[in-house]
Amino acid sequence: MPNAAPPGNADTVVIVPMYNEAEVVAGVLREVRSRFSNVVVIDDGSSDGSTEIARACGVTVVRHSANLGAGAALATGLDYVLSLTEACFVVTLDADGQHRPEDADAMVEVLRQGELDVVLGSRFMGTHSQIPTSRRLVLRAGTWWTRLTTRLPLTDTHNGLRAFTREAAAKLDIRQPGMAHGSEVLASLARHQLRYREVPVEVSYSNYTLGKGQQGINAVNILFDLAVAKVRLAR
Amino acid sequence: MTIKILLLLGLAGVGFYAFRVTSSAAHLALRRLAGVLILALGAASVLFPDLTSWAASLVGVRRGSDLVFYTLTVVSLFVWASVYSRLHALEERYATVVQRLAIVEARDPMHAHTTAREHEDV
Repeated sequence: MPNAAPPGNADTVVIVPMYNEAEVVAGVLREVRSRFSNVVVIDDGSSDGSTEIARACGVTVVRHSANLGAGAALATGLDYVLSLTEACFVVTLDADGQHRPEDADAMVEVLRQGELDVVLGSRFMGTHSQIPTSRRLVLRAGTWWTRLTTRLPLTDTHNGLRAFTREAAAKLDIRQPGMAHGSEVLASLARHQLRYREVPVEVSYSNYTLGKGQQGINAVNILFDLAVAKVRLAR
Repeated sequence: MTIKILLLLGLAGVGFYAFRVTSSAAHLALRRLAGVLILALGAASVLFPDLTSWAASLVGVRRGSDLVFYTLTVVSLFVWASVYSRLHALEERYATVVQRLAIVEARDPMHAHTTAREHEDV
């Protein structure tokens, strides 16, 4: 495993799942590309022109011909990276501008030390992210639930900014197409006893991202997806 | 009293059934037989109206029409469970196709450009 960072983080691929982010995706991709030369956008059937915008930014765009859900986009991204690239490290980063590429850079740097399989971003490690109270409460509930079910003592269980070694990425089992992928990643982590660490990251809540709301609704759906999956597995 | 046990068993059965794989040949045969049986019972109770009263008294239900109602409810729930289960299976297969297509088109951009122009996105 290389210790020095190659220029443009050439040993890394950043997966950016995207659905209808025409307003912000160009800016996000520009910032990511300033630090990472390998970026793959997984376009989950966007209908607002983000597909063309992403393509115009000169990144690889893998497009779902229909909207399947964030989990499916992540699964496609992992499939792409593992089957069509030689990347040593894989980063997942949201297309809506909440995540900072410099945080992703630092996370990959941690992985390069060679002692960990996964680095998870956390909003709750003393950073200054201004999280709206209602959202913070829902996140706290989600964190409590995931800690209960996976027994992982994490501070932030639903953060889309994550970094994996190639081997760890190959062990992720993402089956739910919807919003439950965050919990599935952690379940895979626990099941394969991957070595992980949380690092503090800053998540920016702009009017744009707050306007997308629906945290409570997502939480209900995630819980149902996970519960149903458990019942199906028991059959 | 008997009817309570039967209904509870029926509801429990619906609960299990909702998450079963229902695409096998055995399940298809079962659904078809059940359909025929329900039609036959329905026809019988139309031809012999006292049949439902008799059956009701057997299981501890006061009126024949009440028994018909309970039976209809449980059967309906089974139908919903079956539809839900098969819809879920269909969505999984559909997602797999869309994902594989996405990878294939990413691997072969020239081909992707042509197919996207010729066909509407699904």
